[in-house]
Order: sequence, then structure tokens, then C-alpha cells
Amino acid sequence: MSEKRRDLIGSIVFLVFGIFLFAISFTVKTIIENDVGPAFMPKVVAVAIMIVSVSKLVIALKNHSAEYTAIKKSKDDKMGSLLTILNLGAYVILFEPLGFIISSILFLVLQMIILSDKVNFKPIKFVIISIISTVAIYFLFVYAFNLMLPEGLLNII
Amino acid sequence: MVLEGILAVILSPTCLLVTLLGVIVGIIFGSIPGLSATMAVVLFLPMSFGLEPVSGISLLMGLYIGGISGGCISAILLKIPGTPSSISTVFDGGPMADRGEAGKAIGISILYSFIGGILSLIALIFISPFLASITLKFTAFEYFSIALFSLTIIASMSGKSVLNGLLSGLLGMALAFVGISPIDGFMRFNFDSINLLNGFDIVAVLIGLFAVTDIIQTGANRRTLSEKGNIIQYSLKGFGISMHEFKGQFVNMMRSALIGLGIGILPGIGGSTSGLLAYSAAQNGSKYPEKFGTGIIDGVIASETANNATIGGALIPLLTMGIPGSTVAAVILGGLTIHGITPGPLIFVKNGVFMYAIFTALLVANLYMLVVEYSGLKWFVKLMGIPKHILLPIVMVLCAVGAYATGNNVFDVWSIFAFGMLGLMLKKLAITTTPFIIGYILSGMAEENLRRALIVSKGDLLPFITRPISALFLLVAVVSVVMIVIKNKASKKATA
Repeated sequence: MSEKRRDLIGSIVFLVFGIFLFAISFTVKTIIENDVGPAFMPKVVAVAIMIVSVSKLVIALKNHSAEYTAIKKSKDDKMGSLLTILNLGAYVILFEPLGFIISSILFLVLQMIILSDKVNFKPIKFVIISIISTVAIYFLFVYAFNLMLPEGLLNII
Repeated sequence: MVLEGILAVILSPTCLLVTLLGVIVGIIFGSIPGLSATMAVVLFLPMSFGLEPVSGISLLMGLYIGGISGGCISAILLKIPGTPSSISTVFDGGPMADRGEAGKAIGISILYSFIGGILSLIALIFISPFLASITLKFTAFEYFSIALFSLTIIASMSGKSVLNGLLSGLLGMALAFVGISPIDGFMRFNFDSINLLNGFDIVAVLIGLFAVTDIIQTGANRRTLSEKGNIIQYSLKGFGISMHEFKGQFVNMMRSALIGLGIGILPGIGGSTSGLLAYSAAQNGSKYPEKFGTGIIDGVIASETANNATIGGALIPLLTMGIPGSTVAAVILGGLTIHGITPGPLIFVKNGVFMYAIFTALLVANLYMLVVEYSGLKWFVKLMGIPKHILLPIVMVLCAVGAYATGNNVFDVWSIFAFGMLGLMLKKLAITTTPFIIGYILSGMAEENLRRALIVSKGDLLPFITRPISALFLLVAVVSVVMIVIKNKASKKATA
């Protein structure tokens, strides 16, 4: 993706968001007399977002320099990002239903596998570390800091 | 009041203990590249809720000081800044280490981190009551102008593009509108969800943007994750500086401390900029500017004094006006509010004991840092070797626990994921997230004061520019944006 393309996408995303914010601000009503009301500030911010994103769009469109339009290959490991995002997404969704201990152990083992390479791929070590650290965190928070953590499936046992 | 505050820290074993814990954890987070001072404070914020206010805030102060000070260890031994504020420590610390003077560089870094911290603490103690007495006279007009000023300064100073900075700040303001509005308590933008009645929890927003985003990004860099870099050998002897050298560096030290302090007071700019500015100021003011970057102590001293001086500076506007001077200060603001302490001009009147307790905690934390970082260096260096593919997932679990613990609500765990993804999107668009967080925090203050002001003036905007202090802040806000735009144009022409 070239820098130009990135800036064009960015300004359009923000422009759409600005329009959306402006539109939904009309659902907010003013209660106090003499007050500009709770819709005023969101509208001001929405207009500001629209102005700034349009300026960014115009500047990006006008710039034709070679460096700006050159397509740069991203060095990112796409598979690595995607797997991390999926694993993280699954973790936050399963956090309550499975409970803290089970969901965290699963997340840790999978994430360590995702981040490891051929040399340091040691699944048994990962499982042991995951179990120990999850249980340690659980006891630390529940007993030392008096915080509640979801028990999930372990509650039934 | 003063004595009570001091004793509240010194006579409390819990407080002394959690401050020590904070400093140790802070140094660990600061010294491991990939974990930052901000992350340390964010992760421990939920734990501070369970402690009594003085201990809770002392813990955060310890983390802040430890985190900023720990960055020099990896900056010198690995030539990778452990935390963004020690970027400029690498410039001369790295070459010194190559020459076999790693021990000297670290000794000097620790000593000057301490000096920077103490100088800024002195400034904090003397400036904040004075500033608080001035801000007592502020009305809604001034507060709105200050909020606007803070937002434009951050937008124009952070990152390359002013427009991107503004967009980031505005987006932060926009997302803070969700939930109950100030003054009239109107429910807005919650899309009929009970989870959004009070908007997004600030802790969840911070954890998402400053920890989860970084962890997601490690997935994209997983192939380079196991490259450890070579830890350079070192031997510590004293603090590596003679009395003669110390005298020679006095001007540099004071100048760097003042730069750090000033940058700290200005909202949202933070430690990395102050280190870089102090470094270039030291170079410009030096009799031998050509030697900078070859491994001279001047560079290390400038960088480390300034980044620690930023801490005291950042706390001045935070405590007296409720405006955070850095991202970490923004997190601490969250901590203060949850403990029922409202920063602002009345803080010395309402929470005087607490203020002096904070000052004492800062002093204690600086002393701990000096002793712990020096004597425990061997262990901190060992911890730097923990493999990232094991460490980062565990940090993520701590993020989830922290988010859940703030409100016993799984919605906050979903929020950290959502804000982590938002942070990732902003990074992909080359938009910095610092203005976002300051916008998010200042949104409520800006809106409440604007509306209050307009009710008082019956819709008249003129008082904003006829009241001198308000006018001054607005003027500086406009000038700062215009100057950055002109500077950017000039540098573009120069490169074209």
C-alpha cells in the first residue's frame, strides 16, 4: 500500500465517521433552557472531523510525488496478525462462559504456539507454563487482591 | 497537614512496601523492550483500587518512576530503548558500551535519573501550590480554553502530521460522548445498551490502546521476536562519574532538567520528546558538538535527566488543573478519580494531606529507584532475557484480568479487544494514539465548561477572547498549530 492510498483510506473512514456522528447527534434532545444542549458538542466535534478529514483528502489527492505514491511492501507477517487477532477475539468471547482459568490456559498455549518459531516450539513447556501462570494469577487476584474472576465451567464441578 | 501527609507514607508499612513493589515492577517493564512504563501503570491501575488511596497512588508513582528509569538498562546494554523515553540514551550510551564503558554509562544513567526526578519533585512542590492558587480564579471560560489549548498542543506536537493528530484527538473526544452527558445527565449514543450507560471504562480504553494494540502487533513481527540481541558485558564501579566531571556537567544537568520539566508541564508530549530535545540542546550548547553520538557522558546525562524530570512536570498540571501532562499522567488521573480525589485548584484545600503524601511517595520512590536499580542490576539484566513469545501472552492475560477487575463486567474485557483493534487501525493509518487518549479524557471537561460558560454568557462567545487568561491560551493554541504547519511546509520544500 502506498502512503497516498493509506491517507486516502484514512480520510474517507474519518469523513464517514464524522457524518455518522453528526447524523446521530440529532437524536439527542436539549432539556435545559438557555443551554446549547448535549447535542451541541458532538455536532461541533463532528463538523471538525469532517473539515479535517476533507483537508487531508484534498492534500492527499493533490500530492503526486513519486515517494508518496510508491507502493511499499509491508513487512508484516499477515498470518501472524490474523491468528493473533482470532485467538484474542476467541479469548475475550470465551472469558466468561469457559471461566478465567480454562479460557486463559487455552489462550496462552495457542498464543505461545503462534508466536514461537521452529527453534523454540516446545508445546509441553508451553502447556506447563500456561497452567502455572494462570493459576498463579488467579490466586493472586482472588485471594491477595480480593477481586472476582469468572469461574465458568469450573463452577459446575 | 504537611507533616500528616509525610507520616501517612513513612509510617505505613503497606505504603512503603507497595511503592517498592511498584519501583521493581516498573524497572522490569521499563527495561524490557516491548513493555513500557505506560503499560506497567495501566496494568496495575486495577490493583491500586483495592488499596487505600495513599498506598494505591504510591504504587502508581513507584511504577511511573521505575518504568521511566528502567529504560536506560536496555538502551545501553542492548542499544534498544526499553521504553520510548530512553530513545536518546541509546545515542551515546550505545557507543559508550561498545567501548567497554557500559558500567559507567549505566551508573551515570541511574544517578542522573535520580537527580532529574528529585529536581522535578522540588519544582512540583513549589510550583503546584502557586499554580493552584492562580487556577482558583479560573471560570468555565478559562477551563474550556485550557482544554482546547491542551488538545491542539498534543495534536501539533505528537507525530509528523498535524491533521492526523487532530483527527486522533477528535476521535477520542467523540468516543467519550457515549453515556450520560454532563450538566443535564442526558443519555446519549448508548444504542440502548446497558453496558454503555456510563460510556467506555477509561481503564479498558487505556489497556486496549496501550497494551493490547502492542500485543496484537507482536503477531505481525513474530519472526523477529526471538532475536534477542547481544547483551553487552558491563562492570559497575560507583556511579561512574568523578567530582570533576560532575561539576563540568552541572549546566547540562540543570538545562536538561528544566527542558524535561517544561515538556512535562505541556500536555501530552511526554518523555521521549523531552529526552530528544534535551539531547539536542546539550549538543547545541556544547563546546564539542561533533563528539555527540560517539559515546560521551554529556548525551547520556541530558537524556536521562530530562526524561525523569518530565515525571514531576507532568504531575503539575495533572494535580492542579486535572490536565494530564503525559499518557502515564492520564492513567494516574484515572486512578485518582477512582479513589475519589478530584484534581484541581482546590486539591490543596480538600486533599492537602494527600498531596503531601504524594510528594513523599515520589521522594521515597526515587530513593528506592536509586538503590534498587543499582544493586539489582544483575537481576534486571537477567529478566531481559525472558523469551517474548512466552512473556507477551501472559501480559495479555493480565490485561484481561485488569479490565474485568475494574467493574466485574465482561463487557470491559470485550472493550479492551475493541480498543486494541482500534489502536491497530490507527497505527496502520499512521495516526498516533496519544492525542486520542488526551481527547478522551478532556472531552467531558471541555464540554461541561463550554456549556456552563455559554449559559453564563447567554450564548455569547466574546468572553472567551476578552478574558485575558482565556484569550492567552486560545492564542497560544492557534499560534502552535500555525507554526507547525509553516515548519512542515518549510521542511517539505527543503526535501523537494
